[in-house]
Amino acid sequence: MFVMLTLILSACSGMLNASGWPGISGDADSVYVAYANQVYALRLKDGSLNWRYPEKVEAARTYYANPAINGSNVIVGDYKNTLSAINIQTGTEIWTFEGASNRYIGGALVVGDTILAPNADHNLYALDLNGNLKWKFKAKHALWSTPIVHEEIVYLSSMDHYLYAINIRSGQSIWELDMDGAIVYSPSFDTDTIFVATLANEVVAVNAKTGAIIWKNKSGVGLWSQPVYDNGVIYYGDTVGKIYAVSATDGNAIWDYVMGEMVSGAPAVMPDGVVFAGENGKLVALDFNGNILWTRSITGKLYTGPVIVDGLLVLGISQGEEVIKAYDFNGNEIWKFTPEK
Amino acid sequence: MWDAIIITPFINVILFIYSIVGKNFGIAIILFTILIRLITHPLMVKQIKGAQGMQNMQQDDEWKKVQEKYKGDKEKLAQEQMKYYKEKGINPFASCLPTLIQFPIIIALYQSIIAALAATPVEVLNLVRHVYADFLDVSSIIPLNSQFLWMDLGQPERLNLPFLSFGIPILAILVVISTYVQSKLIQPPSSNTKDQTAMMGNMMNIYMPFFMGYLALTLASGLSLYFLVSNLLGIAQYAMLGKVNWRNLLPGAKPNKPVAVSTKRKK
Repeated sequence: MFVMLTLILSACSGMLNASGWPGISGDADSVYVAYANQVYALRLKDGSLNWRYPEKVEAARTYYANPAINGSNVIVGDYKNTLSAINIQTGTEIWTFEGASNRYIGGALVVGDTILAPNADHNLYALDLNGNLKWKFKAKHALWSTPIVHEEIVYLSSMDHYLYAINIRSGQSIWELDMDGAIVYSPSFDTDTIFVATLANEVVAVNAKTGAIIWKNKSGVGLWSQPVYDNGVIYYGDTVGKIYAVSATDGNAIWDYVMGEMVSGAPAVMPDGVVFAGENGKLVALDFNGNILWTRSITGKLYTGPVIVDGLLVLGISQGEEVIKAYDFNGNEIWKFTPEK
Repeated sequence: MWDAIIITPFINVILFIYSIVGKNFGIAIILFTILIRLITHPLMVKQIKGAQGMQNMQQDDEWKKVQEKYKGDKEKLAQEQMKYYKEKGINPFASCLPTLIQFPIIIALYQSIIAALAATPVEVLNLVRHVYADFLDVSSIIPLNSQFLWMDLGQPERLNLPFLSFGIPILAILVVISTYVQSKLIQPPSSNTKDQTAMMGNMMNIYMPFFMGYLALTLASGLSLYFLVSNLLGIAQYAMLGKVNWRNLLPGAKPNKPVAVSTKRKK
């Protein structure tokens, strides 16, 4: 009796929010959005719906991982352990890979003839373009973020506190480095350096070839964002709303800006500045010297930064009226998208 | 408010237990459930005693005669009822007040386990915000090790055997059995076969185990583990208080008539 009433009251308590935020990617024609029970292909020019997948919604199957684009297919994983390849023109299913045993939280990445799909079952799956398994690499815990690849080396951050460098041909580990804290977001890359933010509240620069730490910046508060590199500077934000620009060479502060709410996800680098998303819906564009360009306020939660798709800032919104809003680089809203219920 | 006063402390306690038992979340759930049950045990004792008093009253011939005598006069019956309570030393709120106090605690226990079983980014972000940074080190706790025996506590449980093409939901089966056993063992006796309360109790005994089994089948197995442990502890608590009727488990057995127990206050 207790349990039954508890379940009913818990359902009303608001404790159980959506499990993730919209996963976004795009090309010159379309924006692909994975959110809740479907994947949407939206026309870039006006945000109108081109197709959605699956046509028939399955309540227990949800999509939050960034879709990957492979010329003719969109590759997207779901929370029911399935990776699907969808025809990019029609939205019809081409193949599925069901070899994983947990959720796809991080988006897949297509590099040449290899699809890299991180899964919460601790494995990075490498598939060919037909969805056949080439190899898999087992980390010590869940993989939540898309890997990056440079010169045939896969750099993979994990919730197990480790950053891995893996040979893309064999799946063999080249080096691994204990970062002292879980890594929620993907690493960023510049020439020979990897940058990651950890739940140990540190931003760390790592030598990509050797796996040696070059510098680390300890923050007094939490970090729930992805450091992004641009032109010798690393940009990131913290959970109390401070934005940092630090030197990529040594981590020394260049400037900071108080945004006032948790900075989430990866900032987007525009031609004339950087845009940060705040959890409570604030969007702030700063120039490369930390001066404000414009701000916008969005209804809803922003747990991921804006994604640049062919000259547009595409923003994924949780618990808002819309799921997607697109802005130009001056902060003008171009279109918005709300899925049909 | 609810979060700050109840849920957050509960989450920190469960994570503290997790951190001192070798980062085993299954053990942490079991110990935390035992801890909360121990803390609420005195309330449960009061509740059971209060319920027993009310139950005895329903079986008492003296009260039945009063009911018969004043069945047409509700006001008089209410007066006689109050008089009876006073004479026998029965507190009509003795069973419901402890229940009301226990209720939020059980809700908090359930919610804190859900929150601590964070398996997605939003859930982990929520969890991180609940952790007292001066008390627990987030970086060493996350990611939570949700493996317990063959189970991933963040996922519905199935035991996969090499010779079977499907997984067996062991935990869901145990939850069904333990819920059924618990409800049968603590089923209050009723001498009247037409007693509506007893009939409703019988219906609950049938439907509740399946409802709980369905939840255990579909929800994260960490919650199923909590349901199971909670049921077993409930049986143990009732057994310690001598309120378990093992004969109720026998096929075809009918609940015993209650033993007349005087609840009159000693002078």
